[in-house]
Amino acid sequence: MTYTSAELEVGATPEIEAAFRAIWESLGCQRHLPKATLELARLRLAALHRADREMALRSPWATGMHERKAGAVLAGAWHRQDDFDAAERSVLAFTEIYAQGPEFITDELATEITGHFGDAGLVCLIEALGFIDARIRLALVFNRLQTGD
Amino acid sequence: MATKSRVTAPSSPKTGHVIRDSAFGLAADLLEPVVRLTHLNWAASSVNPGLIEMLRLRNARTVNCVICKSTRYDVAHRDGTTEEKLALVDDGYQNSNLDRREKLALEFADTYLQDPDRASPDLMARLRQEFSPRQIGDMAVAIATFHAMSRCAVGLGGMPENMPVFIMSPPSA
Repeated sequence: MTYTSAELEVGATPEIEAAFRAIWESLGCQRHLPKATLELARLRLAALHRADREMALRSPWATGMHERKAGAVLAGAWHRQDDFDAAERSVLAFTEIYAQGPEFITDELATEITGHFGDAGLVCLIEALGFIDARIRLALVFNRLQTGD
Repeated sequence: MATKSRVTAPSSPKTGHVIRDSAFGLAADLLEPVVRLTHLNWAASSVNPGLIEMLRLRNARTVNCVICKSTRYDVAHRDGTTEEKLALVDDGYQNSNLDRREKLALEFADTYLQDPDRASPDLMARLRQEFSPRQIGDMAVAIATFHAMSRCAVGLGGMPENMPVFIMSPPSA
């Protein structure tokens, strides 16, 4: 069994495993950020982790995301393309800095996000990135621990 | 590191809950799942609280979350965790007098935190000598949760430059 963040199961106590999955599922139900934009952020994190299986995944909330945009995000070429709107650009820029370390997030980056999505949107984005990153990392760890792949 | 908060925590009514009353309360659609997981990581874990505290602190020191580094959980103290032991949860722990099981758990945390793509089957084999599969899973989710939440705390700003150690209970449900 090889995992992506969508199928990840780490064998934890059932209540804990279910609670961890519930956060993933809540990302697809939340109303603070456009889901297609969040999917672009997930793909950017996957690319930065060089997580091949994760890059091939399209999450259940990816509905409405253009595959052309996904390709540009995965290739790190989104900066040079015209079809990303201002909010998507802000989220992707924020995601790239978050991946380097949350201490590098600037007030300007944060203000861009609150300008588009409000304070709740900023909190949601940073929580979502945290738990998306968590599932990508765990999928990488458990795939390698189990198979050496 | 930003010392000024980038968002304003929810106004009254205050619930008395450390997460619900914080900036995390603003993202209402994620709030209850996050509260539940942070609670269960302590309340339902098959791993003893002292070891969970060591994993939490290893993450806190890696992420450099000042608040997380200053927090101590009372359940870990009741489990026998001391400040002397927690001082060893730092770079160089492999050469400390922590026991084999503790060092292995911290190595697992470091693999997750620093280079998840370099996890090895050898590490899993050694983990399985000391921990059940359920304990390995519980530690994995705990580390992942601590990492996500501490990065949130740092990213949202408002982090003091330093603060004294304080003791609290794990978040309630």
